[in-house]
Amino acid sequence: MKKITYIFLYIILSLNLVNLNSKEIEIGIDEKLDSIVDGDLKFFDADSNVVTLREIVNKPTIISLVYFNCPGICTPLLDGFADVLAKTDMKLGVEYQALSISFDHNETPYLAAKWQNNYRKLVGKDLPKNAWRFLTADSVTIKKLTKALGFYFKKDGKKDYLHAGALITLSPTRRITRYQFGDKFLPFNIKMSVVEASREVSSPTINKLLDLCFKYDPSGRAYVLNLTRIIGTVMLLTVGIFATFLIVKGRSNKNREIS
Amino acid sequence: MSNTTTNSSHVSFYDTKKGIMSWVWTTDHKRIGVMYLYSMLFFFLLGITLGFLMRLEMLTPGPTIIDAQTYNAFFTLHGIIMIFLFIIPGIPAVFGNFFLPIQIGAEDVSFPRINMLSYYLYVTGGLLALGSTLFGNGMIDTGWTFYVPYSIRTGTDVVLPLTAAFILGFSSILTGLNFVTTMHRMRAPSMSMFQMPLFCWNLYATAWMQIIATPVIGITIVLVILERTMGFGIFDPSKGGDPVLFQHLFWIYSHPAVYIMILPAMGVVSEIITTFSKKTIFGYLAMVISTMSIALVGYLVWAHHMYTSGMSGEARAVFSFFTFLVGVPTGVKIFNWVATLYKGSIELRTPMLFVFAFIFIFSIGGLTGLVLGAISADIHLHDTYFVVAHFHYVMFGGAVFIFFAALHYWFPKMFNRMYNEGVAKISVFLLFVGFNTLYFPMFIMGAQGMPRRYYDYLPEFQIYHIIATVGSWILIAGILLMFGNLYVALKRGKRPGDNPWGASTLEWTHTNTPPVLLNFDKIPTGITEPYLYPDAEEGKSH
Repeated sequence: MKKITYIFLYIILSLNLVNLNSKEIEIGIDEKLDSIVDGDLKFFDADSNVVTLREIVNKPTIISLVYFNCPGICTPLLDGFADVLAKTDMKLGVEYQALSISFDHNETPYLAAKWQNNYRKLVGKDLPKNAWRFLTADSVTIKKLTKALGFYFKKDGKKDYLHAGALITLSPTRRITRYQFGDKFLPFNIKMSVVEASREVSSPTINKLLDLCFKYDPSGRAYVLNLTRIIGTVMLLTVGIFATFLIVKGRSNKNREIS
Repeated sequence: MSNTTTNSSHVSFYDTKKGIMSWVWTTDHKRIGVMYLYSMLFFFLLGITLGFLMRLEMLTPGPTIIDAQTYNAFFTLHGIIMIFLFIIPGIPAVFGNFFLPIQIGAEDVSFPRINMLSYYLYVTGGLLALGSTLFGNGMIDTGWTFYVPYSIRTGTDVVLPLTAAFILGFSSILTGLNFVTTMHRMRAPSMSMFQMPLFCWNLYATAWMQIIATPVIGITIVLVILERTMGFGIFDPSKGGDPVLFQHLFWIYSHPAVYIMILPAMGVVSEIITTFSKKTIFGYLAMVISTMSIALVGYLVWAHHMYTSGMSGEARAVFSFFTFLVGVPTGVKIFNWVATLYKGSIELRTPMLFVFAFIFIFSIGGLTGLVLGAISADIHLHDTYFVVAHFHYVMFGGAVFIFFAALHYWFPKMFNRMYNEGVAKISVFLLFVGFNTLYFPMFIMGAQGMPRRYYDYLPEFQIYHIIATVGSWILIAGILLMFGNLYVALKRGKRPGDNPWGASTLEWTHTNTPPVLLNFDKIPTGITEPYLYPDAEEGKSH
């Protein structure tokens, strides 16, 4: 039996190896789902304090990689995010947090503070402190972080960068759980990504139910109804109820009365 | 088991009440079983006629007797009728209804009124399926698998046959619930689960499969109907849906359905082999475990129908592995049947001949199933006549041959008439020869590349089609002879007595022929094991 198990495992693993293919991306995003980002990376927050990723990431965290002088996608991306925040019923700063990290090492905490204040005003004054932080870092840290997140960008030869726009969700243990592309986001997708990322911590029952019923479709990059799981659950519940009925009721007395 | 305790001055369930309304409103499991039998034979003859016409069409390349669209409709209807209206309900609905309560010493099923409802749902579903051929925009032409996106887009009437399948599914679930509850709650007080005859155990496994798997096809059918009528985008790729999801959902039901079809037949085989070799079954517990294992593992193999539909290599390897695994409990069963025959006092009566034909045919069907279960071979053989031959060997040679065996085995008890054994044996011979002549050439032409469901074919395949068509004539001769013989028996067959086979289960030892309304004058007591033949040589060897 052991032998058969090993042979079976070997077949499965060898099939896996065949599927491995890596390609270098110059500009864009190479999804690194399930990998863990180094917690020792050091950043400057808006008050110029040095903070590590380990200290900051203690709940589901949505990261946006931008640079503050960006003339392109960065502002629409952050505006899109700010816009969707108002539409979700989850509390930023309580159930999850946001980090906007500049990948331009020339940008300073002063600039970050300016942006942080702008977006705090946009989202609302009741936002808890540190709910949405704006960070900067040195070039080595940025390189490490962007590589870990699979975010590839390039200088355009002048002062700007060529880069993609996405929200990247980390779990409380800094595991990469989701990428959401573009600059417009659906409240449902944001919520689901937070729910998924919070699997390692306790979350409200309704969220667990959502987590059960929807799955992430990698090709459509959106959450879709997980039909097979719903059907399976309904089936098992029905069978469970029926089996319980049989056990609780025991044998019928009909036959005994006749005999 | 103890000796026969029936008396001759009984009123059979046929005579308790008279008149057509006594049948229409009956909740008696035996009457419902008989009504199922007649309804199913009607649908079976319809399905056979369609099959016969299709075979005739394939005698020559190009148009022979019908046009291509009619051919598409015929193979679809043939599949729907044979699978949903005959083989799936088949043995459980007819013989399960009639004999399950008797075999476990109960006076009826647990929910007699639901049993009646099941029957009427079955009839409604059947009539709707047939009605769809007369109304709407033409006969459905999707194949019995209703694959999307074609079933969403075809101009023919799909909604009505799908509704029919949905209703039939309900009927199946209710029968399953009824049987499981009956076996748990209604057994004679002295009978434990492990003293039930193996036919009951097979019905038990089947019933669980009906309960668990059938809702999946129900939901899927509703989704296809919504997709067709209201434009939902669940399966339609042009709306972002996933057609492969449909295939998964369809086969999650329809592969276990194959075991819903074959497990009751395996139960009948165990009954007949013990009766006609006058020996207890070899390895009762192993038989029970293998039955439940087939039911369990049978759930985990559905995607072997989809090797060419787009699936990861890992998934294919896993499904292929489980497919091979189902062969193990099946092999245990065949071994145990043969071991039961060993040193038995074998009588070659008609039901036993059917069983021998079954073991031969089913072994070929099972082994070619392993060929199809292997990924590399399946890529070549997928959607060819090889598949057609394989499932007819398993379904027709397996489930339907045993339906006939059960009919000949229990006919004397159900109708209090004995058929002519000589004629019955000739019909078995004709069926066996006709069956193999019809379907074996399909293995060869399938391996050579003849695709299934094609109206036309290349000239080099014609010789196989001619052999197969001639085979269909022999087969139909056998079927007509068999039913003719049974019809004559119904009219003027001899009276068989309570236990003409000398069998040992309760329906033979403790009931009259035909049984009384509540089956027993007194609920059987002192039950030990189902297959006890103390007088037969080697009877207690196990």
